[in-house]
Amino acid sequence: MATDGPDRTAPDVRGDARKGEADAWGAFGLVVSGVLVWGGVGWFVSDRLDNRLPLLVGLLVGMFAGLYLVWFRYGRA
Amino acid sequence: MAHLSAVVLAADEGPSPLLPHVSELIVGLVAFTLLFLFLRAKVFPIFEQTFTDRTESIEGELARAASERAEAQKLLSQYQQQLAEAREEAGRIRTEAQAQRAQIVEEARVEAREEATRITTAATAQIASERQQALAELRREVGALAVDLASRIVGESLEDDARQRGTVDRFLADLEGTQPAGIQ
Amino acid sequence: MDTSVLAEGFVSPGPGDFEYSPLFGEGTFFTKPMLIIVLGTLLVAVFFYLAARRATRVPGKLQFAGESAYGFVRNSIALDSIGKEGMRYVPYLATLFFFIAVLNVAGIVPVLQFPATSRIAIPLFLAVISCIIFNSIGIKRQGFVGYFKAMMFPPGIPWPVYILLAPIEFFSTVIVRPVTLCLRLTFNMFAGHLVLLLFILGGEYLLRDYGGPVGVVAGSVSLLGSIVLTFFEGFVQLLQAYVFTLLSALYIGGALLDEH
Repeated sequence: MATDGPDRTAPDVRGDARKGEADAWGAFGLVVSGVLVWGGVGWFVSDRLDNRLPLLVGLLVGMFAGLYLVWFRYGRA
Repeated sequence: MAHLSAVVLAADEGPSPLLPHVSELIVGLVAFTLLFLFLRAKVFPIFEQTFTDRTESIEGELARAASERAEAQKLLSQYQQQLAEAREEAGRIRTEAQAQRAQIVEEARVEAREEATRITTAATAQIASERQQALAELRREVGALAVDLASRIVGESLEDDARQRGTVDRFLADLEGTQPAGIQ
Repeated sequence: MDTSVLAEGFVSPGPGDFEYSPLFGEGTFFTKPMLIIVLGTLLVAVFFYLAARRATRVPGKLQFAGESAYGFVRNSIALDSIGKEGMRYVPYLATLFFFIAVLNVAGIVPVLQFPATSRIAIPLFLAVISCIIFNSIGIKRQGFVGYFKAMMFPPGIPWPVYILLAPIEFFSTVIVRPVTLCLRLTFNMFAGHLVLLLFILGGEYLLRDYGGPVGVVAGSVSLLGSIVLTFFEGFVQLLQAYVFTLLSALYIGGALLDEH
């Protein structure tokens, strides 16, 4: 592999800003995923039971699970 | 915000912007693939090559500078070594010269002393021999004088007489016995 | 602005302005977005071909421009985000960046004035390619089971909680990542183009059809604003190309690391 003038070859020299940007998108993705996955399950159950409660529970559970994952992946020191 | 509201505003009319247009998808995919293949084959390797060349030329210059430095260092140390050698040589010569000088001085001193001794000895010998000579002379003259005196007194020549010699000697022996300190 | 008058005579730009009929008459399929794709691709190819044609150690202006552009993606995106192994993905990432950038910037190029990336088909296939690349790297690197295990079951969580979390992790990595990549680019370009259209068409309408002192002043302001907005859009277009490429690189870098 070739190397050029500015020495960028040191392993994993990642800018902090870049890491932060990626983390922000990752966190956003996790919360959205949580809401979509468990909200979707809740919606499906609600549709079957003709009751709005499972949808609500699903949305909340999904959101908190997503937030927990955000903390787990990015929040710990 | 303006962007968001525009999207919301746009959502209620016409075909949905979320539906992909199949022929656009195909044209885009083909164009992207061709571009990728072309750039990867014809462009990026050349850039990488020039990057490498540039790095190598810089590294080459650095290496050359380093070797030149090493050369200079070698020369310097060589000179220093030569200088040290010269200095050592000079020191050695100086020491040698000092030793030589001391030796010469010593030799001269010894020689002078010997000369002095020799001269003293010679002088002493000469003095001794002269004294001996003077003594002999004196003895002979005193003898002659005595004989002369006696013959005058006696009135007869005793020169050829056999007793003459004995008389003189006896006289001389008497003379030496009575006055030993006068001659010495 | 007098909205009642606006509502009477002025047709606000909408998604309809993103639909083009075929350029060469009914029955042909070739539309303006496709023309932009072809022209933009050719422009990138020709530019880089000329820049690299007579490459020397001491570059000329064109070579310098090409090298700087390539070096930016190579160093600031690929190597910074992925590390040494990023060299393997530089050709893809560089092509991605220049392809998106040129199709974005087509939105402020006179005559063309349409960002082809506002048509969802283009960001869609690019996002899908990026998604396939980073997932296949992860599977190749850590094995099929290992990759998804590392993705869905991060160590340090009691096992019943995995039931709750694993589907979220999977969904966020495999679905949400490409979808956000695609939609972020599409809607930025879509909205930017719509706002520019609104200012330009609105200004034109105010000057020509509404008339009077109010129309002249408001129309002038609107057209001047569109010029400022055009510069702003140029910035957003380059930024979005950068973001798309950077996130693709970060996803690749993440898949290369052992711990997801």
